[in-house]
Amino acid sequence: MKTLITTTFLLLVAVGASAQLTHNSPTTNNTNAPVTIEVDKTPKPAAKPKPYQKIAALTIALNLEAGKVTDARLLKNRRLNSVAPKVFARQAGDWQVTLIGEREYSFYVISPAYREAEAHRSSDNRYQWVAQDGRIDWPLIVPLYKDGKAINVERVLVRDAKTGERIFEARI
Amino acid sequence: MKRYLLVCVGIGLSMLSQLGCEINRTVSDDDTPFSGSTVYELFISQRDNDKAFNIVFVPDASYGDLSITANRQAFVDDMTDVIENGYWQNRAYFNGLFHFNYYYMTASGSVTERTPDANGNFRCPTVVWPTQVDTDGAFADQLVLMHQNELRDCGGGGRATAEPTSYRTIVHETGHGLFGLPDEYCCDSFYREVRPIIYATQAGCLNDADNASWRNCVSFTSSRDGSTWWRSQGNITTNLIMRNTGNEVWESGPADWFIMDNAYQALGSPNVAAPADFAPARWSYNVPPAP
Repeated sequence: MKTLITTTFLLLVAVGASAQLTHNSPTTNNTNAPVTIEVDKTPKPAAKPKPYQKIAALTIALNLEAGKVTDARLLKNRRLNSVAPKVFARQAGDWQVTLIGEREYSFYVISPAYREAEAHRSSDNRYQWVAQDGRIDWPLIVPLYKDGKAINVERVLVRDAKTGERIFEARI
Repeated sequence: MKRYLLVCVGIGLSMLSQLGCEINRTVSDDDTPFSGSTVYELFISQRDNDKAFNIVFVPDASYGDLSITANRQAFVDDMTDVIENGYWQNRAYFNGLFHFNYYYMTASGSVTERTPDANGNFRCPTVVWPTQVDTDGAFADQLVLMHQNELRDCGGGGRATAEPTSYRTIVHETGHGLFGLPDEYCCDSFYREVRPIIYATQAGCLNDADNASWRNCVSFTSSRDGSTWWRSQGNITTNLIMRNTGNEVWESGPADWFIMDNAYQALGSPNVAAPADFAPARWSYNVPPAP
């Protein structure tokens, strides 16, 4: 009886250990070599912003006619101590934002002049891009640091990535 | 003997419980906000926020007053479901899970359906974001406002709205917001050349060394301006997250992965493994333990 219980126990331990191994690899079911990643068992909060981690939170009023920008002006410009969105990691977008100071840095954004309507599950609707009309307040977060160092940003320029057409420019 | 049996069964059950993997996030009155007074941590796998894409879930008013613990727990439970059945159903996200942090906001917004315009055309819903998204949530790479009323949502520019079970919509919009992935469906989108996914010319598609391992160049025509574009993933016509509709969270293709991997590397992570197979059917995954 004791042997049976011990065998069952060892089996359960083995199964549990196996489960732990797969848990520690996010590459389960992959043929690629799994990456070894240490997983903290003790909850650790994300780090708070460091002093150099600042952003400019801009609100830009866009006047739109059938998705075409007819006017753009800066409504708000607030500087905050905050981690920045990973805008420099984004690989493409409709508009190109250039930060101009001692040096220039660029990143892409999706045009706020159109919204993508989902392919709705309860109908036959497909994905669809819907032109926006009237005024919208476009929030644009501008990082004021890059690669662990503060950057000097004096002006922000937004252009159409395909045509190069200037959409917005302001000193911040 | 009885004590020995109890100990063995107890340890065994404990080990077995590891198999029923899911994110367990229990909220507490003692939780302190991560940012401002309204953004709380939900599932943090990367302590350095500059190495993580930060996704913030925002409730609508139907979730009630989120200063009440039970309401917060209900919202958090819905959002852990979104992570597991949405993002982690796509292996290009799951493999990079240590570069995603998830948060939730206690301030609420609203999403209201609009009637079609005078010509019967669909109009995107009216969305009211809580003002705190521009301050407490300014660090977010993707904001998703969750509502429980059923409607056709719109997204773009790192901000999307969705029902908590619209997994595919959430992952599709995040593909635009975080990585700048282009749409691959025909024919109503704003196409632009995003190599190695979309090309302006056939020659460009055929001669790009980056797409050599999956190249199948197929053309399509934009219904907006009649322009012709070329997809390098022409052999993938189903189960592709930036192309296909349906209820499933479809996978990313190898060309999408090229873009996503570049983004992961830009975060300082050269070691995110490529998905083994692209655009397969729904898959079973093992969730790692909460960090």
